[in-house]
Amino acid sequence: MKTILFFLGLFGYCFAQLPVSGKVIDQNGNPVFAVNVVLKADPSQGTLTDLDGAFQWDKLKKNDTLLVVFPAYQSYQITFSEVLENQPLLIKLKEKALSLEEVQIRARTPIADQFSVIKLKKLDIYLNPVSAADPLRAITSLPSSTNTNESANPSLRGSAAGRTRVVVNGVPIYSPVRNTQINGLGTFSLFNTELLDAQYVFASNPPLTFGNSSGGLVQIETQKELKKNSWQLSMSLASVGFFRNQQLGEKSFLQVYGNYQFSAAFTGIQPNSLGFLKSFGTRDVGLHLRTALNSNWSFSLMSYGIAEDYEVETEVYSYKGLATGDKIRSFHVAGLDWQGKSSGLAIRAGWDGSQSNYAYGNIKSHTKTVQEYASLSYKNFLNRKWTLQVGANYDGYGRSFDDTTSVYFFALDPSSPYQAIDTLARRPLLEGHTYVKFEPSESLHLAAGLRTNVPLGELDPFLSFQFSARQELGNGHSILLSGGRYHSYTVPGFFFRGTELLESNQVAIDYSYEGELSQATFAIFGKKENGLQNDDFFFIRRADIFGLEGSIQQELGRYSRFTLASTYLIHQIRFNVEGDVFKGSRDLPIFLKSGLSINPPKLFSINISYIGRPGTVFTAIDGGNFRNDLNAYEPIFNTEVNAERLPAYHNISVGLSKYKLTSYGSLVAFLSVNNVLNRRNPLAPLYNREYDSLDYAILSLRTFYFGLIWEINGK
Amino acid sequence: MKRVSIISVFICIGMAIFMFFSSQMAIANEPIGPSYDAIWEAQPAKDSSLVNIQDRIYQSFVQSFIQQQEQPISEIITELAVLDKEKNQKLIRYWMSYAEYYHSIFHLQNDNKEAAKKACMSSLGRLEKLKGKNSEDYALLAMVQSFAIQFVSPMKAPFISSKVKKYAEKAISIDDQNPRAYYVLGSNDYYTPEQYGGGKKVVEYLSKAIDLPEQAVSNPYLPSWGKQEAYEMIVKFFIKKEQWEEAKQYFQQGVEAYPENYQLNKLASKLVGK
Repeated sequence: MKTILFFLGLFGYCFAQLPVSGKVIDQNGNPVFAVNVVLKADPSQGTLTDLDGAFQWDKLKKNDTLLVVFPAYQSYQITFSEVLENQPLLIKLKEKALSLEEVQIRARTPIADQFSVIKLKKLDIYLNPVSAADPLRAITSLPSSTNTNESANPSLRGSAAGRTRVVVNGVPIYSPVRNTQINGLGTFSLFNTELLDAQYVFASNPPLTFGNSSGGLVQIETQKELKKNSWQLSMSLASVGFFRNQQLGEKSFLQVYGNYQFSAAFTGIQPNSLGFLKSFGTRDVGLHLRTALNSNWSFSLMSYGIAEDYEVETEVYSYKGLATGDKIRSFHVAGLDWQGKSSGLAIRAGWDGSQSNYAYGNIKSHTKTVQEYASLSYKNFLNRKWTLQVGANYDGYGRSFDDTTSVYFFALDPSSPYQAIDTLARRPLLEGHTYVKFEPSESLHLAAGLRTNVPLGELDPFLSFQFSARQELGNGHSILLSGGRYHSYTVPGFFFRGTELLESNQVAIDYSYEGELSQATFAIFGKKENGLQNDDFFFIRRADIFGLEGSIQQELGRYSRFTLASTYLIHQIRFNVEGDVFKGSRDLPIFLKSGLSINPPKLFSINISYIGRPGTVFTAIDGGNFRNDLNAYEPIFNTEVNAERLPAYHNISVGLSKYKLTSYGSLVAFLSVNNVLNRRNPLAPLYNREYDSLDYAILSLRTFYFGLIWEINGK
Repeated sequence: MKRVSIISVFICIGMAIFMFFSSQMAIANEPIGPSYDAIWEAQPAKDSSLVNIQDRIYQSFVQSFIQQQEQPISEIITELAVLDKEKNQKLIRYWMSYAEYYHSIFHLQNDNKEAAKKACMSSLGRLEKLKGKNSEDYALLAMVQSFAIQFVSPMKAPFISSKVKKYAEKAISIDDQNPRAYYVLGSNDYYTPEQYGGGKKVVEYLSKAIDLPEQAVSNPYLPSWGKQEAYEMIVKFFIKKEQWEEAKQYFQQGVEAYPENYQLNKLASKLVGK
């Protein structure tokens, strides 16, 4: 009988059903609703948590294991032995580790993504009324752009263009514009918008993942995927060109393009508007290749070559003559990326070489420039909240000058004295950085960075540091606070051939709002810049900058958009760190930019833009002393530095375009009119030979430009 | 009495047909996890309103449509709002957004674009505010964002489209087995004009959505939409391209898996004789 009872007892033990109950909470202690609590061996048996995260299951048997399953959380197991009668369980779910795809997306996105003031996509640039489809020109319509010379070379928040860096796929490209010495033409960048995936603008506080910037930073990332094969053919008043998009299998694509730019027709039909410009021409070709080598490795290459020449009538002080120049340049940016389960490695290599000639009066300059760049960076996604990046880079820049320059800055006539100066300038820059990002929630992003160099050659050592914090306030509002100390070296140029260390202490608060029909931004910032740099005609050692910026963008009906941006900028300079304070060349009590786009689909698209500001400051010349030895007048400068202002700048431009779908692709016809009001916008003061009469060198008057772009869809 | 009996017989037949098709759907989708009956049995009464909530919302929408009154769909939104106030659960807010999306469709079908826009934007705003979004939250956000394109200026449409893609990719990055995210990506590509590179990945995304189970573990509180819609869209895509064999093949698979899907069945007339 006892035996029977024993077996019955054993039978009863084996088939005993223990009630199990508990509560499921997340990492913050909040109850999790709708969690599956199922038998591991038979997931069709189980229960779910209620709205309080509570569950109850009465049928747990010996050897059973319960699985607690909920999307985005790691599964949790409960074994029979863990369950105590009448003792509810408390189960804390942990977030799942990052998936490979999530890691890949995060790896593709720049680590400092959230801290850029603005991110421009390809369409933003094409729809921008002042961009002329050029990525760097698109920046000039932003309130943070403080360019005063119609150049595409970005000057951001009052800093000189030389302090701001343009980085393409992780490699810095110095002097990223073409025809840099043709005043008034409206220069363009070296980059083709068709290649672009995104352009991040850091108006100040450049992320220390990149080096050698003490102003702002423009980060250009090229396309990661190609949507279709196509041919694009373009023809305009001054150029013809082609662009080919070609997929190479499923994981690779190639983009190839070329343009030939000529001036005869452009200058021929409007000689009075471009009287100073005698001729120009460029020939450029480029390619962009991207390929996934396997699931972990990918490779990209961007190669570009350009040859350009020009003739411009130029007036400097009291000498007027023809300036001629030509340049041949080629750069290559290569990237190799490895992506692991929670980390990524990026290797970058860049080479940029150019050779140029310039002649004006008694100046003759022949320069050769070579830049070599290599970097290695490692990014680790510790979890969803923490990301760490460390890296090192070498940025070698060398420039040789084989020049004759005028002995006296005001005596440029070919008969005036000149001297031969051959210089070899080198800047071997070896740097390392650490950057850490912490995102405690989806709406709060914090980051800090450090960057330092290994002083090679005669370079001074430095330590840069920064912090950034962005808080999303909900309903489209966000605020960004950033600050830090930044360093860069001057790029050896014709006027200053040294490699001076520049420092900048910056702080900025940026607010932005993005609503359904409106967008708005507001910023307040301050900078203290140290180091020997040129500001217009002067070499200065310190600049203090304070600024306020605001902008609005409003949709007006279904097909119209209005934008208005305004900047208030105080720019003060000192010749010595503690010396007297003077106004700087970008001291602008107001800088207005406005645009109106009207795009009714059945009619023409119309873009109207306006840019207005006071003239830039300059130091007056009160007269001249005739020098018999030079056969020239020597200017006598007023002692009040930068006390005068050029007349105000106002430019209204209009663009018209018509997009037409065709059976083979599309056709776009465009017409643009720059400086519609034909205003004589001043560029610089200009004197007669005796310095007793003041006039102004002017930017281009009203000019017309038109053309066609024909896109043919390929297979 | 006779009439009552006849009605009762029809109700029984109707229920039998419904149960038959429900069981067929269950077989087709091969869900793992407790059956809905088991859930009803296991759960306290306070959560019963959320069981099979996706279907309840859809049925409310259908009722609103048939009655031409917004009451059924707005009532379920109010019910969810009350529950959310009491329990403050993210999942409840997910379903409120889902219901508001259908609320918006209801208004749109009644040519009340202003009300449709208001409901859509409310849905979108609620989803955007969700903290700690998971893959399902991002997939719904992508779908509602895609729906919202019709309410914004055409100048903004390309930017919204890229936002849709970003959200859907985020959903996949968190859970690459989420069929709803692939459906939204496929739908976004379907509606993107060819001259902007659209239409190239429709089949890839939608067939992926079709191949995945509706839910990793059967759960009546969690979403299961996307797969039926993917069948409908891929058939429409092949009809548009006049690829009749592929259209018929997916149509056949679709009606076998979802025999009651009205939108899918409607496509039969376009395939007859092809």
